[in-house]
Amino acid sequence: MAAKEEGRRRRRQEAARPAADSDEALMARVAADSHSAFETLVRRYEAPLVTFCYAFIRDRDAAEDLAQETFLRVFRNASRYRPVARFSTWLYRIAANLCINEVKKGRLRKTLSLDEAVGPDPDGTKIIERLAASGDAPLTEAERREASALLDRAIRHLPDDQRTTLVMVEYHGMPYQEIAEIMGVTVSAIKMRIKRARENLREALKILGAER
Amino acid sequence: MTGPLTCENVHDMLSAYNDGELSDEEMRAVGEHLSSCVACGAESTRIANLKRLMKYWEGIEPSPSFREKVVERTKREIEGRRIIRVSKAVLAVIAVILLAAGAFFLGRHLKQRAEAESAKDRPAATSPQPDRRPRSE
Ligand SMILES: [Zn+2]
Repeated sequence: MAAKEEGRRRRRQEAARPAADSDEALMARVAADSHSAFETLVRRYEAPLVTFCYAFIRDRDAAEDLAQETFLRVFRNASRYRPVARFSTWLYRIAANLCINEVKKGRLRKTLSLDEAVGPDPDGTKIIERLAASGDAPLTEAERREASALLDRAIRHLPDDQRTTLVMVEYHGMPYQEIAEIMGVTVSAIKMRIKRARENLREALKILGAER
Repeated sequence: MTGPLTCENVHDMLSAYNDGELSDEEMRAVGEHLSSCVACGAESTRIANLKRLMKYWEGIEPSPSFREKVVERTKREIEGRRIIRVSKAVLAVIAVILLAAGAFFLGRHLKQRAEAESAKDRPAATSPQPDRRPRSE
């Protein structure tokens, strides 16, 4: 829960943060060997970063290892960081490179098909119906958990580039431009990926029984 | 953009429209189309619902030991750096001492040799003793 909130609130928080507390100011202190500044950055980014890696690797433990490696590189290369790019863009670019290499190694590549899914989920159907009927009325804690698990299963079946783009848009709340910078592709490529991701997500949810 | 948008155009733009990622002009044009086209309006609502549903995906909460592990590793690196810095300083001091000692002994050696050379150049009769012997006069 906290992870999700953290991800979503990021942009608003950034705007509200005093300049001395900005990521970039903290990085300048990390470069000058301040460990407490580094710990602040870790606290700020641990959940979004682990989730970011998970989007690539689809394995919780591997995602934590990659996130840890990313933080280590940030720490080691702090003196080389120049605030021409946002800190978060720099951070996620390091993570994306590590994750893509890991995926290429093929060690963690699991070919998932929807056949492996547990099958149609009648409760999932209820959640969608409830969401549609209730407008913005909040879900119960059990329904929330149900929805999250259902979405997780559906997301896991998307092709890599669509899954990662979807997570960056919906969970991290990143603008297309930043995603394009992180992934080293054009904004129109991101537009196409997110469009396809949603089409496929809808299909996956249909198969899982959550949408008709 | 020229001419009114077709349903096909709009369909392709709806995802970016719902993310607010079109240009101002495009946002306005798609909005206008949606207000008068039931089919595209329904499709846009489906995307909006999907976005709303995605908000329930909680992502991954790092395990409780995650931060601790990161902090521990970087603290160890700082310690390592400190040791390297101290060792470098110590090595530098040692190097300076060795250089100074080297210079001192070399200087002394050269001086002795120069004195020995000048002793050899003097007439042999006055100095019968061999070169190498320390001079005691
Ligand atoms: Zn239309």
